Amino acid sequence: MIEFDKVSKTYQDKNTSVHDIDLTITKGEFVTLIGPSGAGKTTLLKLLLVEEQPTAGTVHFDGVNIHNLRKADIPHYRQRIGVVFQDYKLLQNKTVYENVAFAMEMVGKSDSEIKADVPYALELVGLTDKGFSFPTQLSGGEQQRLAIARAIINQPDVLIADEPTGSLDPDSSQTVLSILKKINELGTTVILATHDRDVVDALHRRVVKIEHGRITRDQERGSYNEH
Amino acid sequence: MSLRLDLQRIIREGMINFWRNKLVSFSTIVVMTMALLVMTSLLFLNAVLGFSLQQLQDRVDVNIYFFPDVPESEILVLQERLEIIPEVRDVQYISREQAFIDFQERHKDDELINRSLDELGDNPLGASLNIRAFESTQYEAVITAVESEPVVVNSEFVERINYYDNKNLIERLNQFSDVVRLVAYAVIIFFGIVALLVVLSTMRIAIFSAKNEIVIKRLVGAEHRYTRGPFVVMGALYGIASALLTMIALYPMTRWVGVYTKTFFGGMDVFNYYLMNAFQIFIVTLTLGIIIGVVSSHIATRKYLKI
Repeated sequence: MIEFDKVSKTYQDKNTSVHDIDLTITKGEFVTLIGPSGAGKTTLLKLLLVEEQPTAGTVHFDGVNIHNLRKADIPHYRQRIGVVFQDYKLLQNKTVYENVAFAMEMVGKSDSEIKADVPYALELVGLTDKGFSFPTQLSGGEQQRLAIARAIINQPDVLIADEPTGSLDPDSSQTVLSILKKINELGTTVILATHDRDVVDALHRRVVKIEHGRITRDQERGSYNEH
Repeated sequence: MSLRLDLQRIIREGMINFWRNKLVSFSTIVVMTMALLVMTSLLFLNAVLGFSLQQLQDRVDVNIYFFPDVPESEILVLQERLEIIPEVRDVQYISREQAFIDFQERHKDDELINRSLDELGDNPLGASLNIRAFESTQYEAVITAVESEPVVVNSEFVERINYYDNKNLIERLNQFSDVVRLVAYAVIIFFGIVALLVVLSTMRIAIFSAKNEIVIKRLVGAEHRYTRGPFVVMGALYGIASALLTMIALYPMTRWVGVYTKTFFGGMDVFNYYLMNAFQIFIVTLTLGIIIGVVSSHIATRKYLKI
C-alpha cells in the first residue's frame, strides 16, 4: 500500500533528515515509528503527506508515485489520509462540530450526511456534549480527540498520528490509544509516530525505529527497547 | 459536488469568519473606508475643478462689433448663419440701444463719461454679436468660419472682432486647463495607488493572522477554492461594508465642505453634487470596494497556498 523506496531528504541547510529509507506498509497494519526527537519520524510523515519533496527516492501510495501528482490532485490524495498532529492543528474559528463537518464538506458530502455522521464521530471520541464549544475551550486531551474525529470522519485509507499523546496526561493518552486501536480494527492502516515508551509497549505492534535518519530496527511485534 | 452547494458553503463560511473575526474585520473596514474616502474625495475634487474650469471657460467669448450705421437686418441674418456652425453654442445679439444702456449702467458713476455722452447727444455705439463656443479650444475654428462670412469680410460693416485681443488669454486658459486636468489625474492615480497598497497591506496582515487556518486546511486536503474562497468572500464583504460606511461619512463631510466650495469654486456646492449623484457615487464606491477587497484577498492568500 505504502512504499518508501530509497528515500532521502536533505534540507537547504544541508542537514540530512532521512537517509536511504526503504519501508513498506501493507493495508490494515498498525505501525509505530519510534526514535528520539529529530530522528526523522516527522520528515517521513511529511513526505507521505506531500508536504515535503524527497531529495532522492520515491514514495508510492497504491502504486502511484505521490510526488509526481499534479498540484490539483494533491488535495484528493490527502483526503484519503487522516492526520492527527501533536499540536492538534484545529481550526480555531470553528466549533467542535464545524471542525469535523468541514472535513466532510471538503469531500463533497451532503448536508444530510454531515448531520448524520458528525454526531456519530463525536460520540466515538466522547465529545458529544462539546459540539458548540470552540477548540480553545477544550482541554488538551479533548482537542486531540477532536483532531482524531476530524481525521477519521471520511473513513480514510490511512491514519497518520504524529506524537498524538505528546502533550497529554496518562489517562488522556490511554483514551487516544484505544481510539486508534479501534480505528485500526475497523480496517484503517494506522501509522503512529511517537517516542513514548509506555505507548509503544502497551500497543505491542509493528515497531520501526529511526535513528539519525536511518531505519535501525523493523520488528513485527515489538516494544520500545529491543529484546 | 454541485457548484451551488460549493458556492453556498464558501459564502456561508466567509460570512461566519467575517462575523467571528470582529476585530480584524473592523480594522480592515476602517482602513478600507479611509482609502475609499480618499478616492471619492479625489473624484469630488475632479468634479469641482472641472466645474471651476468650465466656469472660467464660459466667461470666454468672441464679440463682433459693427459700425453704428449697419442695418439690424444684416446683423440678424448673420446671427442665424453663425448659429448653425457646429462649434457654436450660442450667439447673442446686442442691439445699439442695449449696448448704450449697458455702457451707461457700467459707467454711471463716471462723471466725465456721462458729461461726454450728454454733449454727443446721440448713441455712438454700434450693435454687436456675442459668440460662445462649446469649448474654449474651438474658438480658432469658430473665427475661421466667422471670417468667411461676406458680411464680416465687408470692412464697411465690421468695426472690430475682439478674438485677436483675447487670443493669448484663451490660449493660456486652454493650457492652464490642460495642466490642471493632468495634475488632477496624476494626483488621483497616485493617491488611488497609495490607498490600494494600504488596503492590500492591511488585508495581508488580516490574512497573515489566518495563515495557520489556511495551512491546516491544505494539510487536511482542502482544495484551493475551499481555502481561498471564504477569504475572497470576506474581502468582498469588507468592500461592501466600507462602501456603505463611505457613503454615510460623505454626507456630513460634503455638507460641511459644501459651504466653502460654494464660496471658493464659483458656486459649486459639493453637498448638492453628492445628493444629486448619490446613487452613481455609491455604485462606483461599491465596485471599487469589492474589487479592492477581492483582489487583495486573492493576492494575500496566494503565498500560503503553496503547501
